[in-house]
Amino acid sequence: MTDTLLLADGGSALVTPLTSFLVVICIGFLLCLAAGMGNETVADYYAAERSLSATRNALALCGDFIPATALLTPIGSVALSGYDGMATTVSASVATVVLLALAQPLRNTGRLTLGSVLAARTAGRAARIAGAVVTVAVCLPLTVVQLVVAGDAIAYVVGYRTPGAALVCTVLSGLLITTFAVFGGMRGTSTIQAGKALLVLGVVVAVAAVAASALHWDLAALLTRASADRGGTGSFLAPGLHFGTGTTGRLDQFSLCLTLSLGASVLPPLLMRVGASAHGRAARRAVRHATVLTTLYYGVVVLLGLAAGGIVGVDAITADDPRGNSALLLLTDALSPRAGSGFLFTAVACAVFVTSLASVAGLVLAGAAALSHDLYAGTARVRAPRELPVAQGAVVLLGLLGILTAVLLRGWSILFLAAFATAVAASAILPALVYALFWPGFSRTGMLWTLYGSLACCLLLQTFSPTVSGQPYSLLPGTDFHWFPLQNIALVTVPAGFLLGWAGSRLRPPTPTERTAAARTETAVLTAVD
Amino acid sequence: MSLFEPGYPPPPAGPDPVPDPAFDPVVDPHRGPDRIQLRRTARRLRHRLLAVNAAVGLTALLLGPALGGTTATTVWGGWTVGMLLLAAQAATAVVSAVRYDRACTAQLDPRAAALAAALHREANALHREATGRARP
Repeated sequence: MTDTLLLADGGSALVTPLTSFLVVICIGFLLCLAAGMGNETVADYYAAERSLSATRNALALCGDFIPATALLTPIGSVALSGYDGMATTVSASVATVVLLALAQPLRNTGRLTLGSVLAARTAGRAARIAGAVVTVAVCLPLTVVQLVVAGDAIAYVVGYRTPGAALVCTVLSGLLITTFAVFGGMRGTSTIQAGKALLVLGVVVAVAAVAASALHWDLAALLTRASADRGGTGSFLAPGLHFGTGTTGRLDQFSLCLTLSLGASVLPPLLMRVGASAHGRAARRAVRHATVLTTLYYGVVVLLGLAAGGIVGVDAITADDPRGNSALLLLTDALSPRAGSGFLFTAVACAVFVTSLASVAGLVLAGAAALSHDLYAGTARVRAPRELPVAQGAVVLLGLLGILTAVLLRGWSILFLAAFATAVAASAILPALVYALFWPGFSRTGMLWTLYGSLACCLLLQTFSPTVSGQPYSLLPGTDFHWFPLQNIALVTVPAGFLLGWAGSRLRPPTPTERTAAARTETAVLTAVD
Repeated sequence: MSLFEPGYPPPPAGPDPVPDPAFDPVVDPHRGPDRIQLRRTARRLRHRLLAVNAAVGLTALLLGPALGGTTATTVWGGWTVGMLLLAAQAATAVVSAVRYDRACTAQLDPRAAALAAALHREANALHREATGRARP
């Protein structure tokens, strides 16, 4: 890292990562405050009164599809794993297609949270409770992952690379993000997400342009340099560098792609964002634009990964971080002399910071909506005016819980958390939504089997997978009690989720009341008339 | 009572379910041909979008490992077989998304709007018949 960029060197440069952070924090806070001024009702707080335009919602959706992990991890993955990293990155980009198929029907139901969508199909509180449990089971682990990655990245950027500094950065950024979410609500987080999408897209395109210019816009030369440390293009651009060429490795790679394609498409913040669209057509249009933007983003990310491997070198990347999460920062640092006085590095640092901020805010807001809207208001039948303070309290609660868990897990491998949360989204949320929106034969029993059964299945398989024990990268590397061979469990849990929903509905078919509810839901899905 | 058990008894045995008093004929989606046509069109467009992407995605994901080292073979200007497969997957996502939205705009939205208007008219008429006043 160039000395002028470090906070610690006390240089005279006005534009440093720290000053940029402070400016970004001030702007973000002002935006959140301004946006949050209009939050008088729960509908305001959670859905911005469904007043978000398709363009703004598309940018916010694009921001939702690019969490901090999607900004930092794929670049290192492509640099270290070549073809496997590219396949994983492309799989993440096509998640938008699955959401596109669901967006208009989902918005037409007029409901915001998973629990409330499911509650339209059945009587009683069980659907709301199950929806809330699954939502929190997805949002909380992802919040922890984002906070830990953000803490590491911010500590790196400001120049203090000690575990203590990373811990302080995690806590401070977590508190800041929670404050933003409390004041801003959906309107505030949408503004931040839209701004973040523009910033991140601009920054990655700029870094890619500088990197390509450094390599004279020659793709063949770029590939040759990127693969130099990985056995040449023959092995670097062939499958198998990440998980190996054996059957287990291939299944793991396939399972990872499946997890990203399906799980990333139905994360709770995305469902809320779709619900906040003005109407079904606007939701569909927003996801269509987001598909184009996200695919563009991931295409540039592949280029950046190759550039990182070629310019920084695989050895330098793994020496700095064995998982490759700092590859973007290392690449930008290496390109700084070309880009001029560290401006590019500062821009990337701000993009990383804003990305962390927006991602965690969206996750915390979605989790809080499940707690307050589904658990508290949906089951206790309270009046709407009382729900707003409860919603803000739930944001604080989830934010603090996320920070505490991130602090406790500091220094431990958190790979299993990310794998678990995304697998739960793919295995529980996706089947439940697909059945609830499109299958009249879906019953209450099938719904509960899908949600709780898939959650239990994910928990069981992930616990006994190599991400928890038996490998150097495991949560408990010193012990070995794993019997499930795959790190990514979606290959088994996604079919299990669909099967459980079908089997439960066959075993206990829908009651006449549920059939009526199914007819109502179908009419709403088609016409938005409830 | 467990969360895995239904909170109310299963439907009575017999060939036909007991009519539910809460049944609202206005929102019965199976009543008219317009509704059935709308549902079929929506399903067809959705299935086409997903099928195209699933086919191309699965081809890219399965063909890559099956081809092994052949994926690293350069085709043109640095582009390898594997990279072209992945690029095709991404391009399919973008093109199919745009076409899906256009198809929905042309084939789905007008019918859905007409049906929604008809439903509103029916609901208004029923409300006026029942209460003697216009629906708020």
